[in-house]
Amino acid sequence: MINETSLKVSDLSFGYDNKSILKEISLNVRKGKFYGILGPNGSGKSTLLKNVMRYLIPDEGEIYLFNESIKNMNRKSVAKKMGFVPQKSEMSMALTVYETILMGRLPHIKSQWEGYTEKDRRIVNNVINSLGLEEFKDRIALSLSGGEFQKVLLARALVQKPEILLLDEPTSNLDMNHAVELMSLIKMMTKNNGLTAVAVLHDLNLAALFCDEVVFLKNNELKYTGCPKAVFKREIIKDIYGLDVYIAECDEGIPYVIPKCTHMNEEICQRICKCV
Amino acid sequence: MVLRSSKVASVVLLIILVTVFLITISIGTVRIPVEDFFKIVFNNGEVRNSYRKILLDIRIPRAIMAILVGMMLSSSGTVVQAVFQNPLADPYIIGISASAVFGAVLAFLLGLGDIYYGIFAFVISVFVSFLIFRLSNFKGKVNTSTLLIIGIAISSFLGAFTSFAMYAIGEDSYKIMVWTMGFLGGASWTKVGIISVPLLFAVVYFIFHRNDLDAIMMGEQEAHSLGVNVSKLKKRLLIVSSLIVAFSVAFTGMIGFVGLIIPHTMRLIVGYSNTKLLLPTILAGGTFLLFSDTLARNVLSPTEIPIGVVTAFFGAPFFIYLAFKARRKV
Repeated sequence: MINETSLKVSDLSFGYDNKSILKEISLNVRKGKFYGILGPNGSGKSTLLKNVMRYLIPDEGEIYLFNESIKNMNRKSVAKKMGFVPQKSEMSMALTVYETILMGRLPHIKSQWEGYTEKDRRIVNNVINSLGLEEFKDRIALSLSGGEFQKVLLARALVQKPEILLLDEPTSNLDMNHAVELMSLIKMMTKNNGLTAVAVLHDLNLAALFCDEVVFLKNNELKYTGCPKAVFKREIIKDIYGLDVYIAECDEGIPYVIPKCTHMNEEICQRICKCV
Repeated sequence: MVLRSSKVASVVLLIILVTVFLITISIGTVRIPVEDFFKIVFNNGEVRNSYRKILLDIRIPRAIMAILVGMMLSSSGTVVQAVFQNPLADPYIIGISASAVFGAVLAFLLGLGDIYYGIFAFVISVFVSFLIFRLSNFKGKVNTSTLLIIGIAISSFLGAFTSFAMYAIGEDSYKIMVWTMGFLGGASWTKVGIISVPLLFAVVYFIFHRNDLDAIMMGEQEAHSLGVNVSKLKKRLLIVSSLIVAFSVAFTGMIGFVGLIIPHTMRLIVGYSNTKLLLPTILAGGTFLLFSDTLARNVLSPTEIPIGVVTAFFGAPFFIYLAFKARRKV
């Protein structure tokens, strides 16, 4: 059960206009774990996510959802198993928070005529309550702050009742408080509900705090994968980002990355590391 | 299931629609008592032969035609706006209507019969809507400014052709001129029968996909993640929208603003979700065009004002008012 594979990416390659974006990526994502996909800008992180959700079609390779090739599944079946939270929604019309979240039940609609059922509304209300969104229910989603809106998008994905949650830079537009709140929610759901989460992230320290496994991409290839403690090494970060860093470690063994800056000499960095 | 507010709005609009219908069929150069209409419907009591003729052959088909065309324009406006993710994307503004007129004028110039007007209008408007859709699509996202620019450019280009055709035709150009300003005078039971088929199909299709339409408004990637086949659905919705716009233009000419102001007004009343919006919009579109036609027939009676003039005359200031109101809210 613990090592059950939720998502398997096998030799996935993708490119366009004769340009390779992803080269032979293979990855086993275990059930109930929180995966962080990290790497420099343009390394193919978001493209990998788009391929996994079949928004982009891979040139080569296979993607398996619980051992079933995604190619053989219809869109609704995929959407029932896999939810998606974008970095920024392209929502163009003033739908309310409730209407936006209710949309997450779309893949579960049995009859297009009947539309959403009482059961769908019950699920939506439960998720709204559990994420503390009751007071925003009737507000126009676009009028919310970045953090609140991101929670609405998370709620929409959660009412899909997915087993895998894909998140594309979910914290990029959030302040530290909202970023930690969002990551904590996802972490809690992986631990308590067996949800599998795969998030493209930029913040190494957030990834170290919350992810069970991290995947480093560079130059369109998967370079390193492992738990944060194992892969957050000076030489690996240097290889991936071309940046000199110090790695501190807190009591629980969670690594903390401090970039070496010109205005901070080695002594200051080491002192910071000790404080952490 | 639509929510209560949408149901209330639909019932109120239906009552208004029926009231306007009863008023419009009784007024005109000849005033006919409303009771005569009920006498005819229930086949109960004597009605003057001339009244019966006016009602059955002229006013009722014309009123129904106005309702149906209003429904077509307002529903297609709602759907095109969702597809393009832009509340300004009216079939009239983005050039679908102009291309339908172009098709109909082409059929007229080729000396083809009435039935070909609709076919030509349909084929050309479908082609043009795809052209606009493709040209304004960049990396899977519809570029709003490109869409409007291309729409305006195509409208102008085809408008130039229509103007040239009118110039070349000479005296007979009156027929086309009437068309470009919208005219419901030619309504007949046959025409009502013909346009009710695509309208019924379109309304059923739109309502069937009301939840998918909401998902489309979230952008392609998000709609995809909710299990919607976005490009296929968008294409189909555009074809169906073009179909009904083409039919309405072919039979009644260009009637602007309905597809823009009606969905916009209804959004202020019942919200943006298509699950609540579609039915009230369809009913309000029918009511608005029927009301406009009543004015068109009666304001300068016995002279008739083209209906497109009335819708623009009322629609444009109302639209500006809505825009200001929305701006204050922001």
